[in-house]
Amino acid sequence: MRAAIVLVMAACATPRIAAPRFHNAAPVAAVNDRLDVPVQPKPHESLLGLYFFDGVFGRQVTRALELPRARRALGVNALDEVPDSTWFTNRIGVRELSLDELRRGPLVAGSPEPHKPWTILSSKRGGVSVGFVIRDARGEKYLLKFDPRGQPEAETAADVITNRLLWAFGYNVAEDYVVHLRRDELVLSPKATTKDAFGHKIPLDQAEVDRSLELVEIGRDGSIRGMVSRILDGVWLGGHPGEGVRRDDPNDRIPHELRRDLRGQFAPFAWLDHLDVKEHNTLDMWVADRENPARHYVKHYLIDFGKSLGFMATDAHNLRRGYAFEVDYGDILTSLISIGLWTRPWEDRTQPALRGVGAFGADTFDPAGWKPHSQAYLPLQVADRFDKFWGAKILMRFTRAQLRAAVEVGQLSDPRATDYLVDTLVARQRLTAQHWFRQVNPLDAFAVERVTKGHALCFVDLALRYQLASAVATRYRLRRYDRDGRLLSDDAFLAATERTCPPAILPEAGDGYTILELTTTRPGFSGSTLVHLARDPVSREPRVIGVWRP
Amino acid sequence: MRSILVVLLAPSAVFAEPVGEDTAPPCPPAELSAGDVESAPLPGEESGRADQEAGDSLARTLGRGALFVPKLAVQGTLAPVRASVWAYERYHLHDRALRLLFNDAETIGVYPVAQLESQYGVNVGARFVHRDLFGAREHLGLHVGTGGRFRQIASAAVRSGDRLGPLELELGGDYERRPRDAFYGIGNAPMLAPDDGETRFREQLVRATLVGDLRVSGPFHLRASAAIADFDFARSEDGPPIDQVYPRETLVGFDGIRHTYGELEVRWDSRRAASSWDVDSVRATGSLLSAFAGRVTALDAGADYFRVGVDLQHFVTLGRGPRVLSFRFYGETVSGDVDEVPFTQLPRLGGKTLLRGYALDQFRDRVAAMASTEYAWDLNRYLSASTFVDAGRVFPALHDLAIEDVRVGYGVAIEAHSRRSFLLRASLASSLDGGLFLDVAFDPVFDLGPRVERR
Repeated sequence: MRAAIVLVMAACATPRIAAPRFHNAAPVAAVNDRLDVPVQPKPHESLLGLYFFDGVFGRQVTRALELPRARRALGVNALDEVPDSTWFTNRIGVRELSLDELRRGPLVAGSPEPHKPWTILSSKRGGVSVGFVIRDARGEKYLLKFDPRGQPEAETAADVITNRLLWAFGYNVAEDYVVHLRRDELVLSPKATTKDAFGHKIPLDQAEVDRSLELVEIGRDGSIRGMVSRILDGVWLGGHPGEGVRRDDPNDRIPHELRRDLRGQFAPFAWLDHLDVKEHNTLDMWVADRENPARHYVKHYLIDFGKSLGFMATDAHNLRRGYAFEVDYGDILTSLISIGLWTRPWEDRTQPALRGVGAFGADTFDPAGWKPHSQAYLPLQVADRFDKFWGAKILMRFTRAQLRAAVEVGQLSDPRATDYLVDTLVARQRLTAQHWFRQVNPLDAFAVERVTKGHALCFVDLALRYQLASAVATRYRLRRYDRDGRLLSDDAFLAATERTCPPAILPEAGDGYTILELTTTRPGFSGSTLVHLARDPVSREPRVIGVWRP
Repeated sequence: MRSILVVLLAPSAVFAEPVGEDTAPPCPPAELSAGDVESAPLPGEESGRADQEAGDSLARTLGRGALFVPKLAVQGTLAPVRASVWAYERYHLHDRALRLLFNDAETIGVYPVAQLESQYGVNVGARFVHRDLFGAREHLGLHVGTGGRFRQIASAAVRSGDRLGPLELELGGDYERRPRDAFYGIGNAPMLAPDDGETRFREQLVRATLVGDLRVSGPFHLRASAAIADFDFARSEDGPPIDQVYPRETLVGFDGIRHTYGELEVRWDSRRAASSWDVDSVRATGSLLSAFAGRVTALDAGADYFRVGVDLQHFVTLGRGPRVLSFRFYGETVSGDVDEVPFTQLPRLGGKTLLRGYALDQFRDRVAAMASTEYAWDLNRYLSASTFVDAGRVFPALHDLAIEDVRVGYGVAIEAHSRRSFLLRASLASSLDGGLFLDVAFDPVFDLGPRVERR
C-alpha cells in the first residue's frame, strides 16, 4: 500500500512541461513581406497635437477599458529571434561588422560635401528647428539641418552617431552625414518655397533664409556645421501607426504593438537615450524592388535622432527627460502625495562640460526605468522583458572599437568629448545588459554539435561572456523531457563556462523530439530556458528547432 | 535566392565573435530583394509554433464586454475635446488667432482677458498692447473690462521701455467703478453684518500715476511714484447698506476723497530660478528687500498723512525640481489716526495675496503686519504644488504690536507655468476662523502688487 502511494505521489510530482511545441523545421531567417503592392498605400498623416493627446490621455483610457492582456511579441522565429524583413535586417546581431562598414552605415550616395554649391529648394517655416531641402551639384536631394545657436555640435553629432548604431543594430535609417559649409555655398533657387503659418506654400526669399540662419550655430570663421539626411528613395507614406497595421499594405500583417523589432527598440533607445520616439520619427516609403523595379512594397525607416545622447534634455533645459514622461501621471501623483519628499532619480544627473555633449551619462542611468518623451508610442509601452532582453543582447555585440568608430562619425572637435561618449556608451551598454540579463535566463546561441560520443547542445551564457557574472558562482541544471512534457532525466548541476556543451541525447525513434530545460542559478538569479530539439528528417542529425524562454 | 539559404540559421545559431579590427570582407551583404524571400513565410507565420497561442480568458472577455459601454461613453465625452485639438492644429487656430489679434511682428495686438475670484466672480475684458512704440520697446497698454468685482474698468499706461536705459518711466491712468467692494469694519475683530457677514459699498475712482524705476545696479532699484486720485463712494445694491451697519462717522472719507500720493521705494530683488535646468518663472532662490515711504496730501478737507512699509521675501532651494521654502514679511502703517485716514486707505489684510484664508480686505487698521511661509514643490516640469501658512493681524498703532489674536490662514495651491512665464495659480485657503476661499489667479502670489495704484 505504501509503495503504491509513493508511486502515485511520484507520478503526480513528475514535472511536465507545458511550453509550446515547435514544428520540426529550420527556423525562419527572413519573412516575405515584399509581396507586390501595386497601388500606393495612402500616406499616414497624424497631427502631432492630436497624436500626443490620444497617446498620453485619450487612448490610454480607452485602451485600459479594453482590458488588454500582456502578450508576447510576434514577428519572431522559433529561436525567439527577429527574421529579416522590410522592418529589420540582422546585422551586428549575426555577423561581424568591420569598423569601416559601421562608419559607412547605410550610405549609398555619399556625402554632398564635395558637391557644392547646394541649392535651397524649400524650407520648414521658422521655429527653433531650422531646416532646408537642398540639392547638391550632382542633383541628389538632402534635408539640411543645423545645431541650434549656443549648442554647437551636439545635435548633429547625436544624429549621425545614433544613426550608425541603429543601422548596425538592424533598423533601416536614412543616409545622414555631418557637413560643413559656408553661407555663400547655399544658393537660393528662384522657385524655392516655404510654408506660412497656415501651411500654405509661399515663395521662400533670401530674407527668410537669413532669418533662419540667425537661429543656428555659426563658427567665428563663418563656417556652419550641419547634418544632411538624404531624401529617401520611393514615395513618402508618413510614419507607421504605433498600434494596429497599415490596412492598405497587405504585407503589414502583424499589429505594430506586437512586433518584436519595434518593442525591442526599448533597450537600444534607452541605451542611446533616444527620447524623441513618436510615429512622426518613423517613415514608411513605397519603394521599388532592387531587382525587379516593377514590384513595389513598403519599407520602414527610423529617422531623426538629433535629440538622442542626452541632447533632448539639454535642448529643453529639462533633466527629467529620459526619467519621466512629459506628462507622467505616476510621477505627478507620487510627488503630490509625498509632498516632494520623493527624490527622483534625475536629481543627481549632471551634464559634462564638453563641447558637443548633451546631458548623457551613466551614473544615474536605469535601463528599466528609462522613459521616452511621451507614452504615446505603444510598442515601447507594452514591451516585455523578453523584448528588452532581445535588444540588450544585440546592443552588447558592439565592441568598444565599434562604438568609437560610430562616435567618430559625429566629428566632435574635442577629442575628450569623443572619449567621454565612448566611455559612456560602454558603461550604459553594460548597465543595460546587467539588468536585462537578470530578467531572462541569458543563455543564447544554441546549437547542436557533434562530439566524440554523439551530440552536444552548446550554448553561450551571455552574462559570463561579457563578464557580468561569475562562472564560479554559476550552476546549470539540465532536465530532459519528451514531446509530451514527461520528464526523462534530471542531470546534476553542470559547472559553468562561457560556452557549455552538455550531451544532447535524443531518442532514435521518430523525430526524437526532446525538450531540454536549462536552469541557470547564480546569486540573485534563477531562470530557465527550454530548448526544443529534433532530428532532421533527411539527415537524422539532431538540431535546434525552437527556443522558449518562460 | 542566393542569400536566403546562407543566412537561414543566422540570427541565433551563428554567434559571431565581436570584432575590433577591420577584418570583415569589404562588401557587406546586399539588401534582400523580393526574389530572395519569395519562398519565405509571410509575416505572422514565422514562429515555427505547432500550437496556438492561448486567447483571452472568459473573465477577460466578459469584463471587456461589460466595459464596452463605459468605453463608448469615454469616447463620446472625449470626442469634442479631440475635435477641438484636431481643429486647433488642423486649422492653425493659434496662428490664426495671433494673426487676427496681432500684427505680423506680434508687437501690436488686442486680446481678451478674464479673471475669476470666488468672492467677486468673473471679470472679462480686453487689452490693447503696443510693445514697441518707437523702436526701443516702449510699451503702451489699454485695458477695459466689466463684470464681477469691477463693473467697469478702463486703464491706460505707457512705459519708456529701453528708451532711457536703466530708467523706466511709466505714465498711467485708471477709471474704475466697483459696485460691491466689501467692508468688514476696522480692527482685528471686525464687526460683521448680521446676514451675510459683510457689507458692501460702491466705489468709483479716477487716478493718474507716474512711476520711475531706476535700475541702479544689478538687483538694486530705486523707485519713485506719484499719483493723483479722486474717489467717490456710495451704498452698494448688494447686501446691507454699509452706512446702516456702521456709523457714518466711522467711515472716514465716505463722502469722497481727492488726494495726491508720492512714494519712494528702495528695492533689492534677486529672486530668480535656482538653476538653468529649472523653468525661469519659478523663483527658487534670492531675496526681495523692499522698503517704501509715501506721503498722502489731501486735495479736499481730509488730512495729510504718511505711509511706510516693508516687504521682505527670501527663497531657499531645498532640492532639485525645484523644491522651495519661502518666507515673507509684510508690514505697513499710516501716520494718521483712524478718524483722519479714509477707511479705504487704511492698511489691509486678507485676500489671495496678503493673509490668505480670509476675505479680501477683511481686516484694516492703522498698522498691518503679516508673515508667511510657503513650501512649494514640483509635480512635473510645468506644474507645482504648494502649501502655505499666513499669520498676521492689524493693529491700531505700532506700540500695540503683539502676537496675541494673530489671524492664521492656511491652504494649498497648484501652479502652472510655461518655461518662461507664470500661467495661473489655483488656491484653496481657509483659516482658524473658518471659511473657504477658492481663487484662480494669473499673477504669482509673491509678486509685488501695484501698491501705488491701490491708493
